[in-house]
Amino acid sequence: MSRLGSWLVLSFRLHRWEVLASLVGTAVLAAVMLWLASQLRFLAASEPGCPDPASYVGGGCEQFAQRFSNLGDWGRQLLLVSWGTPFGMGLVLGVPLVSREVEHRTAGIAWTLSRSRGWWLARRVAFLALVLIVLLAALATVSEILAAAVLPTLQLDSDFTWHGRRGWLIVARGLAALGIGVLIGAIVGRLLPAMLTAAFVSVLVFVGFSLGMDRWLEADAVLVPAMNGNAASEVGELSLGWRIELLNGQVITPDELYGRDGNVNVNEDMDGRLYNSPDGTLRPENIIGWSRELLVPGRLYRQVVLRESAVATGLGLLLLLGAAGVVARRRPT
Amino acid sequence: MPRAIRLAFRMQRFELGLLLGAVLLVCVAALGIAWQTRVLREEQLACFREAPPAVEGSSGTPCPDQDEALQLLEQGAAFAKAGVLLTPFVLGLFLGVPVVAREIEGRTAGIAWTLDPSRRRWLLTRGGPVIAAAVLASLVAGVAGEVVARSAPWAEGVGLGFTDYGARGELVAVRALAVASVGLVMGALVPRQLPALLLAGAASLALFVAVTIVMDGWMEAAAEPIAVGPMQDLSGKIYGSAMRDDATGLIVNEEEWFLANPDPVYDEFGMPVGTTMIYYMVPGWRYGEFVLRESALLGVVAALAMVTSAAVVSVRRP
Repeated sequence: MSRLGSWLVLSFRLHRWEVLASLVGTAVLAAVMLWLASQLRFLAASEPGCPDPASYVGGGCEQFAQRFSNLGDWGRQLLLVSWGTPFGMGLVLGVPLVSREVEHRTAGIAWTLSRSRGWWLARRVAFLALVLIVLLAALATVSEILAAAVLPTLQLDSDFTWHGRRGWLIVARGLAALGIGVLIGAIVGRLLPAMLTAAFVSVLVFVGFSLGMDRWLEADAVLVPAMNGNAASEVGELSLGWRIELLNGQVITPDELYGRDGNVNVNEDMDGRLYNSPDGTLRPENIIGWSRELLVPGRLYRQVVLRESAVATGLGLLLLLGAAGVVARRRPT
Repeated sequence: MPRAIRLAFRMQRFELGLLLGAVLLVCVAALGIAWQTRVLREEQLACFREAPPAVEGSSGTPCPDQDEALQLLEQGAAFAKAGVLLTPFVLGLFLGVPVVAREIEGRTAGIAWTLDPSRRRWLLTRGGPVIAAAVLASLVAGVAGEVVARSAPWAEGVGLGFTDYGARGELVAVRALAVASVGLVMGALVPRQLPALLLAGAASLALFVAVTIVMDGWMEAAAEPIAVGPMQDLSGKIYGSAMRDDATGLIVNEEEWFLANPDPVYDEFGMPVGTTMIYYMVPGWRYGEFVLRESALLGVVAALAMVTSAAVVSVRRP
């Protein structure tokens, strides 16, 4: 057997359960998603007279739209699962890598037999990263197929609908979760405690990641008029939240407005004008500004996905480097 | 016995410390949110009592000061209740699975079982205290969930009914017992911790999907037609609606009624004159009965899982 073959076989044997669990989970999820996508396409093709199955339209399309919507709801649920999969898979594959060796007291032997601890970790991580990338790439592709089947009238390559539940960001997030899993496993050195800790840390890291990316995206966002909290523009954009444009042109968040004056009582009229009136009346002298929404245009979707994927992958690599540092220094028991 | 219990806690001290700390955090947050909600609501009600009559054309509230804080507290309460809802699953899995699986995976089961008079006694002294801790912590979380759910301003004067089902009360503890028992049996059957954890997670998911389907069937069967006035507060699980013709007492579905009466005259509440809205619902006061039914179902599952665990531990190779 070639060196590559023996590396693959040995790595698989060492992580048989995790790899099989990930494989079975992904295969079942992908199969159900593909089946649902085919059902939706078949249904759409059976009613060529109803161009937009995602909305209720006249001309006898109501029943068809209702059936399509019912199936589409299942699609939405499955895409939520595909959003969570990279986090789960990254931790299931990453956490046991070092922690199980340490817990079973086999780390000392494994590290002694290897060229170096860094080399040992690199070989192990490479196999798991390969498995993760292959499985999540398949899921990313299938999730795009399902999303296109649920929303056949949208151009999803320039649309933020279900951002993070479909496409390559799934793979990048999986790599970041793998990095968290390996690092926490190396630090804690016991499987289940490490799994628990890694789950908590993942939530913190990804909340921080999401907030950080939103701040970065603000540079690319545009302000559009919003009325009663709803953007006046088309769907497809990524909303970064409600903003208030003051009379002097300054744009602030609602928190900043309330932070300036705790007694502010904001009311909005039908044209999106904002009033500060303690008794709720809409008088011209009480106008403080306009209601706005901060949106990232849909045409930037690919660029944003690429950027977020690069950051998530970079984060994963940094965490793996951190894990290498921990493995190089820690005691094997 | 106390030494065995101490040992049981020491074996899982990291998980116990982390999980009980997290549960404590959820409980403190829930109770703090409930307390602050009550304080602010009292202030708001006092303000409403003293407020002058509303100005004509006004769209605002005379007491806006507490609105934003109450909204924030409501969001916080939703997170706290989500934490309580998840508590039995996380506690049950992470405390139930390693009881046997870690001993077998670490190859210490043989020594542990030899040192004890019987394997069943070992399982009782090793698993009992940990599962009891999971159940007790979940019960505390359930009480905190109940307190925060009852503090919601909308719940004043209305029973909670089926709102926040599974995120409050003693059901949280019963769920923890069931999940921990499933974790225990999976840990005994599958001799490695991570696969056992994954399988126990999948089995718990399947169990709760099945229980939800059964409970939903029971609730739908128990739904009864209840006449609801236009401004009446509702508390219960709704499965459908219809309209009653007040003159004949006949109950028909809304579509049929509007087909038969194409030009109805509406009253000030938007209901066609001479009709009453009917909801097919399980009244909120039957909440306790359904909690008892689910508890009985889960209790049977837990008992079966524990008996199976004892049988597996008695016969399996260490």
